[in-house]
Amino acid sequence: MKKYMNIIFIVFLFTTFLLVFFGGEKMIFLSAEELDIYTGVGVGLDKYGGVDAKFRIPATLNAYKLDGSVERVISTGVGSTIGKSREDRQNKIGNSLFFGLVKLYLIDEEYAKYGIRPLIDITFKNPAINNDLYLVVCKGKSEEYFKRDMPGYDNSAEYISDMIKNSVNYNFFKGDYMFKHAVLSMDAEGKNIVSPYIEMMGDDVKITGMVVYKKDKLAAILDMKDTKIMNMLRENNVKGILTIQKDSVKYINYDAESKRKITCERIGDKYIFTIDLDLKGEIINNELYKDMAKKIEITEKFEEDMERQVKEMCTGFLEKMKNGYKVDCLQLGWVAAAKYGRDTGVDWDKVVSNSDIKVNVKVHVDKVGRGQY
Amino acid sequence: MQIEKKNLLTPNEVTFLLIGIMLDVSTASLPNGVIATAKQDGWISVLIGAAYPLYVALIAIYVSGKHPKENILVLSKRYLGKTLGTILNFLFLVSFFSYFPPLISNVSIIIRTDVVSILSPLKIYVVLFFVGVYTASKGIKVLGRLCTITFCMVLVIIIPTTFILKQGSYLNISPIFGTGIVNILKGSLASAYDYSLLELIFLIYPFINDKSKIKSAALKAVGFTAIIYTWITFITIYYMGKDIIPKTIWSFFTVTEAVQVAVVNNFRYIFIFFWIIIAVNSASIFNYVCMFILDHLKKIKSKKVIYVIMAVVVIMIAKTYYGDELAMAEITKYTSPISIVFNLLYITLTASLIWIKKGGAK
Repeated sequence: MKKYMNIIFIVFLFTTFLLVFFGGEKMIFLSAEELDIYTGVGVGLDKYGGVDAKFRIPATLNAYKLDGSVERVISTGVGSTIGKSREDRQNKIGNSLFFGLVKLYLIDEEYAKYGIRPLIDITFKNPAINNDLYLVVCKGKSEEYFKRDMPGYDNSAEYISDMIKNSVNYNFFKGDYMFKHAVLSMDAEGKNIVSPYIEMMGDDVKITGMVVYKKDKLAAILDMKDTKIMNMLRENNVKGILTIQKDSVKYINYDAESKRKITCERIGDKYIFTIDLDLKGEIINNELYKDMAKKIEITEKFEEDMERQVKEMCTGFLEKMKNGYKVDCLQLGWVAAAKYGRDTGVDWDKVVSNSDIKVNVKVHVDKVGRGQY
Repeated sequence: MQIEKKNLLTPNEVTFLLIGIMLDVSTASLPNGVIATAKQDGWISVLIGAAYPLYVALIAIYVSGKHPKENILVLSKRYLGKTLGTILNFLFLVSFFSYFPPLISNVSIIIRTDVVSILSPLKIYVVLFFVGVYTASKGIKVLGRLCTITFCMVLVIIIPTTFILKQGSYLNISPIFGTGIVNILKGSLASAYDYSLLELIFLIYPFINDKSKIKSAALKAVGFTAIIYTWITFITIYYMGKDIIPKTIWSFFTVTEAVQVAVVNNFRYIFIFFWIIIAVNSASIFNYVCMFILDHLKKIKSKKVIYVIMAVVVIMIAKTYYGDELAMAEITKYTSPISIVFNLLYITLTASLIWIKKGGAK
């Protein structure tokens, strides 16, 4: 009897295993050829009348043909919610849709003003989506950008995401305008999202500035000049070129790397922020100062001049921020909340607009290159 | 109790076993719990929460010093009388058992959310039990070795998260002590669920091969767990900030996304793969412990059948009552404090009786 028990037991285990694994609902496996793997997704909103609005989500992908050539395909899903647009998209395409490897979200300016919370939510919920995707805001409609042929690229979505990735070299861009950072700053106290703003200029697609959000809504679009200063004051360890130009032949270019420190003080109800900006870098081009490589006084004079100019630029920007944009572009509220306690219910955008912001600039010339021609 | 010499556990294996039972998959959502009251000081709460396992460890050291050869099931029967002892031992089993269905349910939710959404929960449960029961049936020594390997794996996946120190900001954790000491203490209660079940030490100390090392083994287990937990909470708050953590269910998984490893697209996938192995490890220990106590309550002849029955019961409970995250939280909100309080009373009672009656090996 005991011998049989063992056999019965083993048979029982095997049948359970087989039943559980091969019974039940059938699993559907898809091969890679059956997927539409999108590289870039645009998000737009069409408004009809007062309240009615429809999402318009164009998505672009590279279709590889049998002869090895690549074709760009754009399909657009339309629906009153982002989820519905997927349904609509599936009705138009031959394959199963797959958003896991998207590199870029190109958000229409109109939609960014409306609020990007649904987009953030649907992406955040989905664990299969790669979080290292860039959030970029564009002027006009995102389809126009996808339809454009970019020399050297199969797909303009790849081109734009590479453009953002390599923007870090100049203009003090940080380069991490990714979804995963947006998630971390959208609802955090005193923080806000920024993303690059692109425009079509003739034949080019280029970064022409930066947008700053207030929670999930676009609050301000900065032009390139303001973007540069904002980046310099907002981010730490960023690189860019600063110029003193007298006229078209007399100028000096200074390739700087920034270090920034913010301190905050509270006197009564008023906050006083001090931003210490430390620039360190190399003279890459000099047509303004004579004998710079030889005399230390000249270098010191340049440093002084540059400090004055950067300070002027910053003060100008801060005035504009406080009175024009009325958004806390520099995340100063975050610093203040970390020092004086969180969850006090204050609107940091307002507080920062009414506070004193001082900027101290220090410029150091590190190198002057091989010499001066 | 005759145990062969080679089947005894080394002190290190005891340490890893204890860490193995405390550190289960729900640790990934530990920051969510403490952040609710302690806010940015949650990591201090977790550090303070270590007082609970420390207390258990100290009692265990005392009891094992008096009776190094008998476990708590024998002792409670001797000091409390046969009937009361058996009832308390049964309740001790129930308190262990109450952690079992949430564990496997948690695993299946994580797998179905983050890894393969096409698997049905039943399939995941069955695999967990096939592996878990097989390991458990091989005895405590195999479990000890498994826990050693698992602990190494935990270190391998936790250490890369130190790179996140560059990406987060100290602004997220300051002001330190800003929430007030009362809230910090309240927050530490939330960490009790993850710190619980160190009581396992009362069952396994007779298996250690070097009796003098029980003290260091137990304290090391508490220390390591406290360090790992505090680190997990600290880095989660440091990277995400207290406003974003409640938006995620397993906040620590989101943190692992920030780890950048060459070639790897997303470190979270690797992290979760190893995290699931921790779950298999915990399931094996639970299987072993439940069988161990059952065996003690009533001698079991055919363990196989009991294992199958236990598996079926656990799967049924997990499927009916612990189907999703919210239902689970609703139940563990009651079961966890009850089981913790019972365990504490039980071990304190036994230990104090030993002290009063001056029992113990001379």
